[in-house]
Amino acid sequence: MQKKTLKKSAIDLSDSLVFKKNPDMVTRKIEGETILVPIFKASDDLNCIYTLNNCASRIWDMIDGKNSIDNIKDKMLKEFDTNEKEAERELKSLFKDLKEIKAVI
Amino acid sequence: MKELQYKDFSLKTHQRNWQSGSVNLCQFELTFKCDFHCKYCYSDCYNKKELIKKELSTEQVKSTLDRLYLLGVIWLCFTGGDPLAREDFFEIYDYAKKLGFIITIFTTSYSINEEIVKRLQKKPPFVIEITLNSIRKDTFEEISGLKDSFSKSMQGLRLLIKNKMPLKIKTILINDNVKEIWQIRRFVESLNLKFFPDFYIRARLNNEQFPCSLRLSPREALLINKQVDPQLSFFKECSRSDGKANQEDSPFYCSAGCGSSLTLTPYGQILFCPFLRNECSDILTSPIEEALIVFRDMRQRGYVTDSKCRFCQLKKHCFTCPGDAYLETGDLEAPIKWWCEMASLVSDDYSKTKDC
Repeated sequence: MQKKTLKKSAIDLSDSLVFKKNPDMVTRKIEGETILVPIFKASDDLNCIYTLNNCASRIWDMIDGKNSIDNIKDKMLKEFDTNEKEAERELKSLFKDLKEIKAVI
Repeated sequence: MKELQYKDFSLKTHQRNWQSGSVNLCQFELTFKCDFHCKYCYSDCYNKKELIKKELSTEQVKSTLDRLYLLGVIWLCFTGGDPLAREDFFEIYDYAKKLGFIITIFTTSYSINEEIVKRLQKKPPFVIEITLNSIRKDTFEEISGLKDSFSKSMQGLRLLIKNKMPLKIKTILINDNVKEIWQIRRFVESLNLKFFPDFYIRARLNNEQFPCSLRLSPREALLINKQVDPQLSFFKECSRSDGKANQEDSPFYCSAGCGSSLTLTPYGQILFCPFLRNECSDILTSPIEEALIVFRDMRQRGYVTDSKCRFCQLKKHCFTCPGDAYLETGDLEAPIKWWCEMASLVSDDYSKTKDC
């Protein structure tokens, strides 16, 4: 299995930002794995499928157009064994990736 | 977040599901309705008004899609008949897209028009697979059984190409069009597409044998395959040389046999093999999971007769299956002469290649 590094673009992610899921990106939970399927892509450009680990999957669930990044961080601190710095790093990295692939808007 | 190459994802999922027996692929026959009455078609016997009336309603199809989603199906193939012949096709298609299935559509280019292409462009399928059996009007219409279908079909094909829709073209080779094979190949390749000849012809679902009489001889079919693909990669890829066929005393060693796919008929029957219509459950009245248990038992039942196939040394080069055998002989363990000859030729060819 080939692991790839997503290209990071310079996206400013302030804690108060609120994102919602792009309706063109569908989530599937299959055998314990969360995958994101871009429905606007055909075989020629469906080069990649994105999978989320447990934590990323939980964050994805919380993206609803209402929760700010800060709110999500607070919930993460309650639900996961993590500290503020780690949670922030995880969150920002994930949101950058999600923005990059247009999974959130 | 992990980014997986699509092919790695597909391989990983299929391997995992082959081991676990979970279903990831569904072939959904949305309708048997089709403008064409192709002479080799195994389902044309159900392409009749009075039978089409009995097919699932829009709501029944949607609720079935919900259940497939919950089951974890990823790949969905809309087939038929011609799925685009359903008036509610786009209501169903859009619903399936929203659920996140990776969708393939098997259709005829005869059904394609500007409006359909526009709608598909908004949310493209993974691939559209059409069958092109001739680029000559007379042969085309002789095979399709529909007068004046050629020019509309070519127009549909041009529309798909012009709009860069994801396309796969296959050609069913039968006695009627075999002389035109190289013309068809040149045409398909001129569209920058790969040529896929297919010589897999089976009896009709009502056991009518006529299509079998249209088969090329095994020798001719193999020769053509070698000319198109000197490595015979189709046979190599599908070869049962993994030992599975020889070790397991079961006639089911196809993807249906591995339990990772299922078929749904337009009447709502759940099948584990598209050609074994008797072994089914009703999607409207039974949980899919229950059907899967029955199917697992079927697959594991092993041979019950001393069929020649059971002990055949050529098994790993043979592509017959219980479904084909059932349609052609009424006995799912019976050998099919055509496939016996083909397996023998493929085996000889392999030995020669080895010697070289």
